Amino acid sequence: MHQTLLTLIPIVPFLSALILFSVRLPKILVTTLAVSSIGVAALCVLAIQLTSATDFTPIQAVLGQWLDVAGVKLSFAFYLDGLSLMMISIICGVGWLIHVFSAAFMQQDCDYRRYFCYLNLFVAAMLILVLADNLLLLYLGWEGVGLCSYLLIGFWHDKRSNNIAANKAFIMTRIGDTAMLLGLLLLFWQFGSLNISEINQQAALQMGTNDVMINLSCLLLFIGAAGKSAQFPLQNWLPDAMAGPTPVSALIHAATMVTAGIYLIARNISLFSAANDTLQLIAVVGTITLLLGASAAMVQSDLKRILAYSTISQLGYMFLALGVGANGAASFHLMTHAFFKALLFLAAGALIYCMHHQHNIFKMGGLARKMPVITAAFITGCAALSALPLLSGFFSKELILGQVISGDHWWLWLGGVLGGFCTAFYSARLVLVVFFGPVQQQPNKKVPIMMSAVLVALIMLSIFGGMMPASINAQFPAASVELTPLQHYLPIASPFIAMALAFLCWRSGLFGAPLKSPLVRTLHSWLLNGWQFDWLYQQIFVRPYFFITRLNRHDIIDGFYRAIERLMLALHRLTSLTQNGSLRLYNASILLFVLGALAWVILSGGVV
Amino acid sequence: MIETIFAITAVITLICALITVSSHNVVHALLFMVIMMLAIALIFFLLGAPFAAALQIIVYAGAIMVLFIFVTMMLHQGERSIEGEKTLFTLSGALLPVLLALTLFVEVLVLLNTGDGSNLNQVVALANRDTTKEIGLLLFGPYHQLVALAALMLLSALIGAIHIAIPANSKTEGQP
Amino acid sequence: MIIPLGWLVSFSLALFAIGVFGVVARRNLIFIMISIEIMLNAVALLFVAGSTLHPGSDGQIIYLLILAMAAAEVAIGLALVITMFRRWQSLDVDLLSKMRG
Repeated sequence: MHQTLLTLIPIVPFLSALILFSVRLPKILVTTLAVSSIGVAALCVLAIQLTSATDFTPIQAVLGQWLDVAGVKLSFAFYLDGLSLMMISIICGVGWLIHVFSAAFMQQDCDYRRYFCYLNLFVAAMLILVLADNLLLLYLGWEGVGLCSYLLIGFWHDKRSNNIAANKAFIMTRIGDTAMLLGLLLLFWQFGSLNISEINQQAALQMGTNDVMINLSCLLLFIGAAGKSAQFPLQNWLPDAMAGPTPVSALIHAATMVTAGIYLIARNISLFSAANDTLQLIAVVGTITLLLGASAAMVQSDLKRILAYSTISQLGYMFLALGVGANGAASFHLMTHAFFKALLFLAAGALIYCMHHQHNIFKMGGLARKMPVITAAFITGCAALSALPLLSGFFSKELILGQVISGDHWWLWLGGVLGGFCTAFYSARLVLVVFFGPVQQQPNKKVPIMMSAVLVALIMLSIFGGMMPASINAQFPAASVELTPLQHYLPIASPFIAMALAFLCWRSGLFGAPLKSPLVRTLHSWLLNGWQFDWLYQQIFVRPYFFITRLNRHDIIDGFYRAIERLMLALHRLTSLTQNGSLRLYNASILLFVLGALAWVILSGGVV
Repeated sequence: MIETIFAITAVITLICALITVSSHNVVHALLFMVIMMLAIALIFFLLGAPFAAALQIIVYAGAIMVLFIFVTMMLHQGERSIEGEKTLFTLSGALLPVLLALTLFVEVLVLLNTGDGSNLNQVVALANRDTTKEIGLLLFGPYHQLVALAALMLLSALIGAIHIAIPANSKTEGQP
Repeated sequence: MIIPLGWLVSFSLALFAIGVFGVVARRNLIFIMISIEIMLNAVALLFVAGSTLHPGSDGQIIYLLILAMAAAEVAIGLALVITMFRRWQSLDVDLLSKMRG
């Protein structure tokens, strides 16, 4: 019975996407079909959760043989263990809420059906990614979510900048995907199989050996994860990806797709434990990324870009946790992050919807009285983000930092604390500028009931969702930590200090004020552009490429073919000279040919 | 003796042909052509094909060449051709064709003489049979379709010639 | 009473070569047609010689057809000569070069 439920979970959204793609349905049917397909999947997940034992044995459902050639045996099968159960709960639960929200948000859009088709396809691909039992099927889901991300970022494709943003996202994740494919091939070459359980079992035998090949394959897999989860240095596609509709940003770029990289590493944790160098690299990259995201978010003026950099920063926390071996903490933070980030994005969506598509926070102000639900949503979400005590974010972030310091990684711990400081600072800045102070622009629409309901549900989850799921605890038992008082209380106190600082800055009108000193202005623009990575890549990759294309302006390879064409034309002109209409010439040429033929016959021995 | 007569007739034919192709006056050329055809008819007689010889004289020399002469007279080509040919047929212009014709002659001869050459050592015996009767039997027998085809061909040539030769602004245009 | 085949063949070949020379060397259209007639005669001679060589008179039948064909060809050819003369008042074959290129 569990197996049937497990099979249904990805299949139902996929079928729904197929139907929405091929059949033209009226809006009400589209909504019903799309939302209920995810609802059905969510109910299946709930059923599995309620009926499975507390120690949680893995479930497997085989659909059929996929490849069986030259020693490669892969089946089309789904595998459910504690980690993937948590992931599909998030995907189906939060995904369902986002679908309901989208039904209200995209009500006036004429491409309604196409939107829900892509959204369902995305959920189906993500579920396949999470439930796959071998790495190639996971890669299938990986590519699927990349495709849907491209389609949904460029959803309003009449605007050229949206197309460019979608291309940027797809190309940068593609770089990661290529590295990941190489990693897959190396793994197959080493272990002879792509089945996740088999690889992890074989790798567990080599734990701690720090083998070069395993390090290399793990490094390549990590590059793939970094591409998909927007880590340094492949992170600058995520702020531009905010060009898509806001529920898309909530689903894909906050809760699900960007967590695929973390899921990949958490799933193959035995494999990664055998590659200590790579784990250290992961931790360092995570720290750099979290500082990058947090510092850049402090100066942004576009509402969604703040949230995008915030996502980059929080993902950095999760990779940091993975790098030091705190897998349970990383998965837990993934869950709580999904709650409060989805809440923040959906609230931002509702805000943008009511403020006539205004994105700039400095053009908004004093909206606390007009829109109470959205204000509550933002305050709760930002509080959870800053890890204020007793909210969900508090438990997961403190767990991560505790695990980091207990492994004696002082510099990484300091980076995490500094990141937390910056996180609280920019969250407070956001709330203060948008919801308090003088009113700049009045909202012109009331918040629809659907949106409010979804926001309230997510508020509840953000507040009360701070409990480590039993399934994660069973799979990744957390080591107990001994912390000194400084280590224990500094991370708790620093958000409050940051919020006080932000309040002071706001009161003195520092936010949004024009900058006078050129040094400050350079620093500001450097942070504003995300540490100038776009400019860097432009110089390193784009300009040399354009230089080469300018050199090849006349297209060398094409020139070869055109030379053949010109040769043929010249020969044609030459042979048309014989076509001069002169009868005598024709006669003479016939005679000459006959003479030639006779001469050839004579010279080749004659005709007997 | 037949060989001697054949040799003399062959020489006459070749000389007449040479004069025909290198003459400046059209009428002279045509008349020499008639003589050439009569010589060939004589050779047919020597070969024992009297019917062919008769046809040669009656049809070829008697109808086709007469047609040539009619057209030449109609177009007044007699005197006009003499000045015309001074520019049209020059000695330098004829060198290359001579070379080509000679090459053709030599090449085919060489071809015929390669191998054991036994083919050409056969001799043609005078036919002692009544070839005219044989022709008649063949024409009414196995080759009767050829007669019909030849007749059709002549009919189409007739119609075609009339149609081509009618002047464009004639009053009879359009009528079959 | 006997004629060697070799003589007949070479004689026919010589006549043919003379005809070829006439076709290529002359520019007057009537002379070209005359040379074609010489070539036809040469070939007809060969066929008739063949008819006496082999039993049966098939060669002479072919000679008959060659004759018919020559007649038809001369008729149409001379009609074309007349048309050409009406257009250009000259029988130079180099005037007939409109199908250039």
